[in-house]
Amino acid sequence: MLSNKKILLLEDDVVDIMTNQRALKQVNISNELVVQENGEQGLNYLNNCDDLPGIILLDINMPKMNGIEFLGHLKKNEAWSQIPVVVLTTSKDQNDKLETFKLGISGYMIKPVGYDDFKKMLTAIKDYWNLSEHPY
Amino acid sequence: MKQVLYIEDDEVDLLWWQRITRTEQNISTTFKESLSDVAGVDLSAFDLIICDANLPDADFKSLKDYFKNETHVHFLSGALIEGERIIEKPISLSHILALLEPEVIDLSYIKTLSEGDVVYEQEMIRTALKVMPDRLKLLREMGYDITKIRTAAHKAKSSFRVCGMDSTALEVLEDLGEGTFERKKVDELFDKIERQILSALRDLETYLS
Repeated sequence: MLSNKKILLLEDDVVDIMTNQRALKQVNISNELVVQENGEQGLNYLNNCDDLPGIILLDINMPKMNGIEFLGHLKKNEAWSQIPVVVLTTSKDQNDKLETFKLGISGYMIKPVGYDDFKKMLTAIKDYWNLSEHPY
Repeated sequence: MKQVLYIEDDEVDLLWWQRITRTEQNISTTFKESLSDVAGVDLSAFDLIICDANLPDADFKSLKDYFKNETHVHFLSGALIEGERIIEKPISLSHILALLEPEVIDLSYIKTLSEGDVVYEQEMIRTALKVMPDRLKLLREMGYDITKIRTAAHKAKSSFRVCGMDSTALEVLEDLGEGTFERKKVDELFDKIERQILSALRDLETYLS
């Protein structure tokens, strides 16, 4: 059973935002989804929110502050550094992957071509998130 | 051979059409000057119909009404007209070729996503329709800056993915490196992506209508 914490989605592509909103519902993740369109907005949100999100879904390529820069700031902050972060990307760039793992992400998922596979990916994220909240 | 019906009364626009299509051996154009000239013509014989949005004997509203059952009609306009299947003058050859290409979209992704929710499905399609031209514009604005081209190509992939479009050209651009960069090749890829997007817009608009 997942906590009722919010999910923070950092994504600037409106098509991807719509896809995520819909797919999360379809895999029965009813937690509130908060969308911020770049790393800068994401940090502002974390600075001002009352309750920290339970998980962060992060795109890499975003304007102003990209996902890797955002991660750098996130991991330096003691209060935020334990929030699990899963990168959701269409990029197969190995450097991005390496860089984000070095910064301590929990998962790196390449958005699949098919929608059913996309749902499976979100289900895996749900299972992972559940496990991170209830490890025993 | 692709058959095109071009309905136009403006001499300059007719000359323009002849100029841009003269090197295309695969296009055969039938010209008509007014809506009354079209009466009795078998419209289904044409792969594409391009019609001026303002003819001597018909305004845009009556043209839309006349062609309401034809999904392969596009209206050419020199003025800013709101609506679907409007092409701004002057039309380009790449646009004509894009309109003649076979269907490039596969909506199974969106259909699975919407699970029969027609309102959501249409909202998603309209969003893709809005986003794709912006993505193309962004790519064109990048000039030959490899890093910017790669980022812009990456950004376009989501819209291509949900519309079931082939993203090979975008992936080639995304993988561009100093050693693989050739301006001619990049231009070719831009042209291919432009044709894909124009064809996709045609298909999406047809689907919505």
